Amino acid sequence: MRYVSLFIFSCILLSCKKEKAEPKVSNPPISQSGMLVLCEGLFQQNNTTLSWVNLEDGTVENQYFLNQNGRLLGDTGNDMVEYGDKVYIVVNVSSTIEVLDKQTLESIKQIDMKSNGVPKSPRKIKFHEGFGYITCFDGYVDVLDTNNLSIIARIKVGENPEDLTFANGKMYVSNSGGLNVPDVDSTVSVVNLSTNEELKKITVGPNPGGIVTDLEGEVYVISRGNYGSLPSRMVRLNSDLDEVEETFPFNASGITKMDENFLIRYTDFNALSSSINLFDPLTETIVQSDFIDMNQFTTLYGLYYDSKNEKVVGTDAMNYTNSGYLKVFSKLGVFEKSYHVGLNPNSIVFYE
Amino acid sequence: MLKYLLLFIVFIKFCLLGFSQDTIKQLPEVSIVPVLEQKLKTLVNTQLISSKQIDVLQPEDIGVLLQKTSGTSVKSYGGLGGLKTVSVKGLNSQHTAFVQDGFLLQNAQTGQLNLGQIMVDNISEISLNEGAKQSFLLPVSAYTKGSLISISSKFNQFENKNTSASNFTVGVGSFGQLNTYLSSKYERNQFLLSSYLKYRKAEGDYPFEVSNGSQTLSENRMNNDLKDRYGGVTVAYQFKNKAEIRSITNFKEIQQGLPGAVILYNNASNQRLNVNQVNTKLDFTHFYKKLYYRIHSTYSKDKLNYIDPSFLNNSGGINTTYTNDFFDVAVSLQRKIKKIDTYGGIESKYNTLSFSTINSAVPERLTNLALIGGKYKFKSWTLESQVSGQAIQESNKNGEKAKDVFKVNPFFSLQRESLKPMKLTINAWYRNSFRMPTFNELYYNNIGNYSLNPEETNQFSLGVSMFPLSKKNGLKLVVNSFYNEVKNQILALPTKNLFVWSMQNIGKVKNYGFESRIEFSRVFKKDWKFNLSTNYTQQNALDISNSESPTFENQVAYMPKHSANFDVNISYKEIGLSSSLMRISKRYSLNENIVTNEVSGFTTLDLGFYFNHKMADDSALKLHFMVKNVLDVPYNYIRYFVMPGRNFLMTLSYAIR
Repeated sequence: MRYVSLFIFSCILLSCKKEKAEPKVSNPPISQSGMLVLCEGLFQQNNTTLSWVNLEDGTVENQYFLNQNGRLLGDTGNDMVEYGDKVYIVVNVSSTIEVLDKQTLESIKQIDMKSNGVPKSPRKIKFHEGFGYITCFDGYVDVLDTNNLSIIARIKVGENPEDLTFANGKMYVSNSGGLNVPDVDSTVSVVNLSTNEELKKITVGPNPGGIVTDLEGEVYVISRGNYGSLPSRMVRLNSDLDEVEETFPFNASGITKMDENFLIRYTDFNALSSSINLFDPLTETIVQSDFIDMNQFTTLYGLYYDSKNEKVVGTDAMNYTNSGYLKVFSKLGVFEKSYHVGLNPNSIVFYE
Repeated sequence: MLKYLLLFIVFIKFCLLGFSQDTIKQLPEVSIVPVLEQKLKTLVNTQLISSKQIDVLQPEDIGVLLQKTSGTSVKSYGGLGGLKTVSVKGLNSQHTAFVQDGFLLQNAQTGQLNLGQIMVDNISEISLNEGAKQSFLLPVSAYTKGSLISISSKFNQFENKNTSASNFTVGVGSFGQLNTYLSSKYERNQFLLSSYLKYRKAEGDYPFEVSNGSQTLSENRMNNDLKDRYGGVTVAYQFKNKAEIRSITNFKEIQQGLPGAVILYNNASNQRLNVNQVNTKLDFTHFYKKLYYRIHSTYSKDKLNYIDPSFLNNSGGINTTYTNDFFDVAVSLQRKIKKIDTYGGIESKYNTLSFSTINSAVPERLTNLALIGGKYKFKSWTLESQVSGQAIQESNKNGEKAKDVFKVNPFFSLQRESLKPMKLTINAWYRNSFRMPTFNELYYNNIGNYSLNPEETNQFSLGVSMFPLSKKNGLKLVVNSFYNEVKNQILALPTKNLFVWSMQNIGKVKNYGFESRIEFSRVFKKDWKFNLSTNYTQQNALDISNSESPTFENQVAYMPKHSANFDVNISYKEIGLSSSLMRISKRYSLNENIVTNEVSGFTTLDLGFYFNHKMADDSALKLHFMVKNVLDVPYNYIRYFVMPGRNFLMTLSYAIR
């Protein structure tokens, strides 16, 4: 009997060995063509990761940020954009902007995004003439000086601003008001970039989301409706008059620019199905429906266009709790290849 | 501090002398309860935790005790009063029924109880019961769930003598912890009055370490403070004709910070939770001719106020109150009919929930249950069978309502006992049960899905227990193997986007494994007592929802494959030493069993030293000193919900009879 307990006791002790992460050797600066993928992870799990997809040998490395920097990115990375020789990552719940050297992917600076100790909850970043503009869910757009990498101004806009674009010397910010469900916001803020002040608010429809500018300087914004009786629509704004020009009659939940055209995706959350159509913003018409075979996707999460290699890349978030995939298509929408990446891939930076 | 404490004890004692003087002094029941005898009561499908064990372990709450049982896994989000739930044999926490003093404890909003808010000071015994129930005249609900945890309170039962007793306990611990507990009982001429009051506070600002790649984050837990109060009064009367009436009223009031997960680079945390609960229970038990019957009723009101001042909406945060009301009335019966022990009952339960937010659902649920069961003994064989029926009607004053449900569920058990050469019991049972979707799952703002079906389970168990009968040693071995399946498991899935999740009946899980227990106790040289209790559970909880999914046959999130306990207690006369070791193996934070989802296994060791001094006047002084997590191991049950490192607790308790 005593031997039995001794045996159990020693088994328990033996199983106590510390599990230590093996130190990884960091990678040399990137010289191959490939895709850098921001994988958002899940809320409260601090598991935002960077995946590096090497297009030359087809390999994928899923902990690239950790390997280069010896630490984690944080919680819920929402956006990643390259500008100059740097890559900027917006980490929403950690409330930071991680600025990386584009070639080494080593962190140059981690910008703390808190205001009097309260997280600003940054969402998206876009760049214009040396400045980064960051939508923050606390109702502001922060202005980042890309020379000294510090926040130099906060512009008050609408509720829970989601995305932004530039046209005609002005900035257009989509105010989602998503945290006030069901009383969401329905405006786009127009901001004067020389004074950093809001000029006016344009009412576009409930829950504004993705927003882009076409080659003619017209602004297109998605009003996501209420996921029920009010449909999700694309709205065109005139950037001279700052007025709504047209609300398109088709379903749309996201816009991706592909050269002069738009890829318009739509996800039906009740049927859990998606579609991608090709839209021409000059003629303002859909030129090709069902541009991509959606059977390649379980859950279409992000859509990108690689202009150098002329590829369309969609991210698949699976069921949002299993690691995701990148699906690569030709410019004509023909499926080519799939890569297994991290959890909830949402943004891509292309390397030539 | 100590001086004041002693003064206070003297004061209490002085006050109590007033009414203890005139009672007929009697020696207390043999307080040296032979451990052997107590263990003999343990059966193959029941695990008992006695007040003596509770004393030795000095747990913060009932969750700590349930970790010590085998076949269970506790999920703890850390901190005093923090959320803790228990899963038995891989079934999630909503499949376990809780009964206290024969009354159902229930929360229809979440379908589970926060074990971190069930105090142990006034508990005399806890039993974890699977298979056939050992208890008597329970509400029907207690029989219809996957497993039952039954709690008996001290001072709520007649000892059938004129007596009065009081207990005062004060404890101080690390991270600003202070506990005070006061209870008293008065029994005379078939009349019983007892009451208790507990007050706790803690800062909870314990240091922790979290690894961040090759770096280590060392910080203190913030917004983890707690202040709570618990109290209750019991009044009971015994009639001359074997009948008894009892009324029990309890309240709790809790104010606490919700520290949330540790978020890298962001330590802002200011969410708060306030809980107010009152419940009152009434029962009448009568032994009439050959029939035992019990009529009982419970009413409880549970208010939960959640505040998140930093939520970025235009009203400047969230401040929502959820009010749960629960009322039940039931009759339980037991009678021997020829050779069959027959039992059964009927029960009506009413649950309602109201949200303080406008446009929210106002769900109501009426559940009617009936049960009949019988136990037949023939030589060494015992056959037991039950069948229960449940009719559940839902309504919602503000929107769509969930489906009504009618279900009939069976239970069978077969047991064989032999006494030579040792007491050997072999037991097999099968139970079919279900759990209703909770009010949150059905109606909560955007997340709820009113078309959910109940989650269904089939459980099979085969176990054996044996112990040689020896006067000197008590040795007991139990091995239980189990297999169960959960269909229509309710899981949250993000639908509209990552921020908006919705509930779906998409899960299917199979659990199998075994749990084993060895208990050994021995008294030697009269004054030395040695007690060992160890268990090991091996549990495969596999996701079998979809064979195409990358998680097919992967271990379900947060279910450890291996868990073990090793507890030793040695005492000599008035002093004792205890050691409690627990090991939980690696788990995964999501169903996908990949390295990035791994949550490391851990081992914790608690050591205790105690001194029990019995004074000449029958009062007793107890001093207990505990070091918890002696090895200062950083660990967590839930990823990034860090648990405290090494910490201390000193308790002084004074009992007067």
